[in-house]
Amino acid sequence: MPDFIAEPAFEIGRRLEMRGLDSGAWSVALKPAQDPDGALEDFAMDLAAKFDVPVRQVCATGRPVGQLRADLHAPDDDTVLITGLDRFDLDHWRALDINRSGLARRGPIVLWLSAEGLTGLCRWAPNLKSFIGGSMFVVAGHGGMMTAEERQQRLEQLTAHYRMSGEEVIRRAESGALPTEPQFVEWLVLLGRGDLV
Amino acid sequence: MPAGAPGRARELDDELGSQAASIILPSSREVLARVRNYLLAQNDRADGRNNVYKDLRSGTSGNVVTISLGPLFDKGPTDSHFYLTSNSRLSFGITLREANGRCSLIAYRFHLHLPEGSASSFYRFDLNPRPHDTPLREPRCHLHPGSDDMRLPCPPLSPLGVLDRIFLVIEPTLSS
Amino acid sequence: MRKLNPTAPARTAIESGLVVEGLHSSLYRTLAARADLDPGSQQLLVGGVGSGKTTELLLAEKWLQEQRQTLPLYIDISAETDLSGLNSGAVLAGFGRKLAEAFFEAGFGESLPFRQKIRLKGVQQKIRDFAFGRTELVFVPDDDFVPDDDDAPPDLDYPPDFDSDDAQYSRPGSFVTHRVPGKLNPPPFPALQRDIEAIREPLVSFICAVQSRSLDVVAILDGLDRLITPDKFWEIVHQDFRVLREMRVAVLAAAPLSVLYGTGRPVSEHFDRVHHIATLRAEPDDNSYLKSVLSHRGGTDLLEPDEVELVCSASGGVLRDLIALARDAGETAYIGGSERILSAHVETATRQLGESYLRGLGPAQFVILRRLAKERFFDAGSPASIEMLVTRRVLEYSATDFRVHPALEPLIPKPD
Repeated sequence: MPDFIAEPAFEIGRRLEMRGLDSGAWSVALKPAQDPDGALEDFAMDLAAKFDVPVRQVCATGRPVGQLRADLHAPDDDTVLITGLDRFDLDHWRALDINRSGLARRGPIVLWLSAEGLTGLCRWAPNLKSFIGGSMFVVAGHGGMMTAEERQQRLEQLTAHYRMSGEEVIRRAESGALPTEPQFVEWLVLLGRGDLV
Repeated sequence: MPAGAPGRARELDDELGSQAASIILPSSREVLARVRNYLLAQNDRADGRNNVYKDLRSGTSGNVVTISLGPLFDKGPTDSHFYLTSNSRLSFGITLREANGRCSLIAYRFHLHLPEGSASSFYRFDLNPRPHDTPLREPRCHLHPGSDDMRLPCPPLSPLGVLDRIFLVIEPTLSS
Repeated sequence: MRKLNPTAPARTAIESGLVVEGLHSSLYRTLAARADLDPGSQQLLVGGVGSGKTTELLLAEKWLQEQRQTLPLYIDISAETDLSGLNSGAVLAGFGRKLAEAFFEAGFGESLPFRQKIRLKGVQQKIRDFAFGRTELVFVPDDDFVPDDDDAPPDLDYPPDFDSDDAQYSRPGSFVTHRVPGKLNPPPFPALQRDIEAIREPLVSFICAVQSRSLDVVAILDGLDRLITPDKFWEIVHQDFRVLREMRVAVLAAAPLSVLYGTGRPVSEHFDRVHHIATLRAEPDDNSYLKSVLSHRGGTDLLEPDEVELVCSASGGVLRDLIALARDAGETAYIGGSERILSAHVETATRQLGESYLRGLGPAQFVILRRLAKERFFDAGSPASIEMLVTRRVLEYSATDFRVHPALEPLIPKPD
């Protein structure tokens, strides 16, 4: 497993924003081994939500370099996620690499790669790799999830404030006698009982 | 008690419930992203004193999702509140039900604690998960104008709609 | 932090004042002065990826423009066409196109007699056709036609130069459109000596028109260094460069680093000079150039002195890596909520860069790198070693001073 930084999509998006969405930045997003297709959709959606504009996906599989070049320049200022690179062999990577100037554009490019695809890039595309540098990130699950510790702290706050245990909350919810304050539904979620909401 | 007051309150409460049910939001990830982006933009105006990425948290159980920032109860300033330019502090919790890539509102609470010297000490926008037995005293969706015991009905809003009222309606009166 | 953009187009960086002009001992002046004084000379510029070749070529163009003795033409062939399908004649096609455009953009056509101007416009079209191909109508007779005296002439769509008396058109058939590919369009066109001769005359027309204004033409050709292997480079350029020399067009061209080593050396012997942009020194007592690069881009405003030293060391002197490391350290600090860029942020950025160099390496490459790191032994002539140089895992500071990229070295696995 690569030892690159793990970041959720919005943090990768944050980096691209810091660089400037017209800076032509290149980066690699390393997809998770499990459910890569679902992860791609989630990643594209999270990135689009960060920028508040759609992120265009371009599949490189079976696409001649000239066609890929044309795709990247129509338009040339949006954010593009290039997929379909994992099966690229030496010839394909070399063709992309040789034509790096032709692929350059104003908007950011994110290459969606598996560990195997990344190996191909690093082995056979030194010009592209130079453009990317250390901007290679393992895509982490969408950021902002409450940690176990945070959950526990909040459960303790609720118990202290209402002088009620979690079991009591569950009993009341099951009998339909839960108070109507919004904190109580949050309490049920913290207890893992969203089914009672 | 004037005759009909409870009945009128119940009618209004039914209407508020319908309005809440009619608010359809995108996926929870997108709601989270939009709330995050909104706060980030406001944070830039507040000289970047808040760490939205650290403080905005999400939780899930089944198809119910919570999005929260700051403490559950405002008992004083904390590092996890969102501080506005006027030095007001904001904490909130939003609970959503998600199905087929869309969300409906279950409940929310947005607590804005105002700075010292303000006419009111806080405003809190609440949407309860279900009606109360006495909707006259506790409407399904209400505003607390500086008192935990006073609840005035107000229309349910989307999360960004509530944030608009906080940042664009209340805050300007405090900053000037 | 936006000035710390390692992939900003070199021209933009120069125009924005972000470039340190004397970085490589003003190499661009040496290149340009030779081209200025010696029409027909051919020089190569070689250097590792991200060493600043494009910047030097653009600075040479700028210098030549200021001298006003030449018409310098900067051409990035890789931006014009698919380099992987490049063939003989493509360089001439790109050069010819640029020459014709520059001629008219400079207003040189305005002072010409009308007929000559029109003739040159026609020549420009020929160059375009050579570059991008053309569509022509070709008469294809029906194969199974048996002529009969009573047959009326067929009803045809006629091409502009149709001559009804031409015997070939007296049989039934049809005109079909036939696409003649250009040099800058896929698919690759077979390399034919005759083909290159076809472009010679149009080019001579423009070159003579420029020379009549007491200017010489200098072709500054970028992008050919991406061809990586010297034999591929030579296969593509040798005919075109010969024609340019015959037309007394000076050439400055980026070339693959591999022409300096091993089997690439014979290629470099065909050129008047081969200039090498060596990697800049990165040691603390010898990194003033690197610091000046950072300073020009505002990096020394963001980084404390200790962190500047760390970034310079970790870059190994590779300019693109230097700028990227400074930027990445800044991003890591900001994302982590830090108000300052600390050593830990530089270390994180360095590790990321090192990991990127580590990917794709196998046991054979690790042997080479370990030997270099421990024993300072490096056989620059072997293909495996040249690959390490080309991919910047190994940096060349001089003809005899090679080192493992400092971001990579700590990550090389120990031998079993």
